[in-house]
Amino acid sequence: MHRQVCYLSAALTMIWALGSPATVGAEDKDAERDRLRQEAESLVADLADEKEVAAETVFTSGQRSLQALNPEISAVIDAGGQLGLREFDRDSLADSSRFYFRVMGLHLESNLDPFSFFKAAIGVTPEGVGLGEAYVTWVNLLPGLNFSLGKFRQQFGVIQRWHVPALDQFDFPLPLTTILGPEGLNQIGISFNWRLPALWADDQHLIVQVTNGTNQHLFQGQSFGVPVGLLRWSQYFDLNEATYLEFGATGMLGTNSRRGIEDATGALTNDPFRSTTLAGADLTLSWSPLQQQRYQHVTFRAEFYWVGKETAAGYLSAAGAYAYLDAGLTETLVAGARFDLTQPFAIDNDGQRLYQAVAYLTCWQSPWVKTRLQLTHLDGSGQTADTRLIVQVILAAGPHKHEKY
Amino acid sequence: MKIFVTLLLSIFLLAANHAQASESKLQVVTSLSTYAAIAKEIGREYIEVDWIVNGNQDPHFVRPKPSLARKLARADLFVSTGLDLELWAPALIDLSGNGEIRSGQRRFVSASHDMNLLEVPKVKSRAEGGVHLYGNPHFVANPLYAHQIARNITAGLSRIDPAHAPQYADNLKIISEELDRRIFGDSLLRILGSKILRRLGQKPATLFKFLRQRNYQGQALIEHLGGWLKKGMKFRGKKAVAYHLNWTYFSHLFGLQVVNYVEPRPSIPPTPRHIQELIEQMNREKIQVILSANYYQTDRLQTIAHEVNARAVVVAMGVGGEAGTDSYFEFIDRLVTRVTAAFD
Repeated sequence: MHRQVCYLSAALTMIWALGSPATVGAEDKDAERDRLRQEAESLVADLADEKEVAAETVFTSGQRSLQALNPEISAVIDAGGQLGLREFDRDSLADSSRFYFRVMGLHLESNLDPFSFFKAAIGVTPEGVGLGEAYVTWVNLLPGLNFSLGKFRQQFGVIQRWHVPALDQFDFPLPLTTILGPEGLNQIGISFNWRLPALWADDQHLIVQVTNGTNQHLFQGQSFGVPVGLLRWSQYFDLNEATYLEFGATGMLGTNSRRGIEDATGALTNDPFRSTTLAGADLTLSWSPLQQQRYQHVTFRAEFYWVGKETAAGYLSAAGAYAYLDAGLTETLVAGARFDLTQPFAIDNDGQRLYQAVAYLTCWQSPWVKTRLQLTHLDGSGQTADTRLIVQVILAAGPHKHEKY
Repeated sequence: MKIFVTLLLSIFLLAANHAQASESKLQVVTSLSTYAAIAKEIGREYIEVDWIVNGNQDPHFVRPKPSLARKLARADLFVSTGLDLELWAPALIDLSGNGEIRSGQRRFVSASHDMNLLEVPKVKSRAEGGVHLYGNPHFVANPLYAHQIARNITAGLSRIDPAHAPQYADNLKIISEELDRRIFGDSLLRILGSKILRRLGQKPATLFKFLRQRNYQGQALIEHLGGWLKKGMKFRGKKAVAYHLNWTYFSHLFGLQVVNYVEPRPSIPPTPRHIQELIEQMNREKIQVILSANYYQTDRLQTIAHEVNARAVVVAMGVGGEAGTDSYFEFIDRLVTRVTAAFD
């Protein structure tokens, strides 16, 4: 618009100059010209004056300086120390009382285009570097349906999805690590997250995941075999504006047979079909008054896990559960306790139980730095009783923080 | 297997049907209740408005619950600050599956678009606490900024519902005129006009100098000032302490001097030492007023106020955050009234 006005003004000036009658005096022409110049100038009064470009000017190009388009990167560090308080096996004292550096997690996140985004987590430990997660998600592929592809922590229950530093306690509950394996379920495949009609609830989700069975604890390991399927249904209720209830049920089916694998001699391994079946249930009840969310909250969470695994040596069945209460006392202090109970992951586990009791106090120095003091007692069948005091420091540098509801 | 596929298909069709059977009114969802109140003034009978953060809730810390994602799933338009205030919003949008309300899409409105933001940090570091990289996002407490919020929302509504664009434009005019009347008063508006006053309002010190130095029909222009600015003259130039940086825009317009904060840095909990230093400063400088949004810890404020015999103004920093603040006008009215009363 502005450009058009300038153009018209200039054109008008030219037309007048060419076609002006000879009777117009020189003085009138000057006044008219000054008026036009003033008007034109007022139109661009907000623009800076043109400047000469000095010969010494350094000219730069933005082509290799597009850092703003890099993915968001955050680093999370989980380190601290632990003290073995009661041990019957003195040989392990050196191992249980020590400083530790569990992980430095690098988290990357970026929109890829208007339709998809990606997230990745890389774990750097004293032992090496490992890919935690890396996946792309297409949002709303179909109405209410998100689709992900890559390597991801699977949605078996609630907290199996989380990364270790984001947990409310130092470690995953004992039933989870016993039944799903020390690292949990973190496999490569696809995931459909479908928001169902809410119906009687305030929200309902159905998650279907199909992955390779790379978890050696439960499935066939690294070799490609029959894919593993996971189905999860969760329901969410807002009981009031401060309280919500969520429960879910998860099932998983796969195989642990090694089939079509050649060994060094060229011999083919073709185990007979042996299934692995998993089931789980979870419940979360959380209260947090809207006006005081930074200062008060109480969360109760419980999960149940069961596995049935056909093995060459026989049928393995194990079940376990945990429950915990987590309470925000002030802006900076959170206290809680958790109790874990599980059968060992073994074929002959009748009557055998492992249990773990955990009490903790977490101090949030700021939204990015927290220190946790945790007392853990582990005991049970075939287990050397072990009590540990753990001091854990978790810090997050960068733009991300774990969002949980 | 057949039954399972049939069941899945049925649920999918039900979901699709449910989505299509939404009401004919546009479904507008806003991050803050204040944006919702302004959107309601613009959209009126053509829209239904819902929001995520209540006026008595801290917008920095919101749990991205599934029920909130469901609100966004059915949103025809999503209005958020568009800066780095609602860091929880992308997680909710991802969960909602509503790709059209993501940043840069046609059903997304940034309330801060074309806004003159204050406190843009020179040093972008967590050493400064919960620093807002693009500038202070707590502008809703400055009614002059409501003009731009309203313009942005109008643009968004007109884009997705061009058939009613003239009505949205008319409603924008109505709310803008009402804002001007309430900010400056009728008399000054008649003399200087809204365009000049709004521009001068961006530089409140210049505005007040001008009003004090110029006369109109033998009377100082300042005598013609009315509205909230007239009411706020009671505390113009006075000192106060605030809990968080969400008083910046309010104090910029009303000339209140916020000399220190309860939080030593944004979002960093105060240490006992900082509280002690704050108390000493308030005693030394005879600061009698301490301001806070009603979602911060009031017992800490009361302790400080008690120590220095000051008045604690604990007030909603968003529409609907306390009784009698159901519209944007009532919200600002309450804010000005409460601060004025503290300086009585």
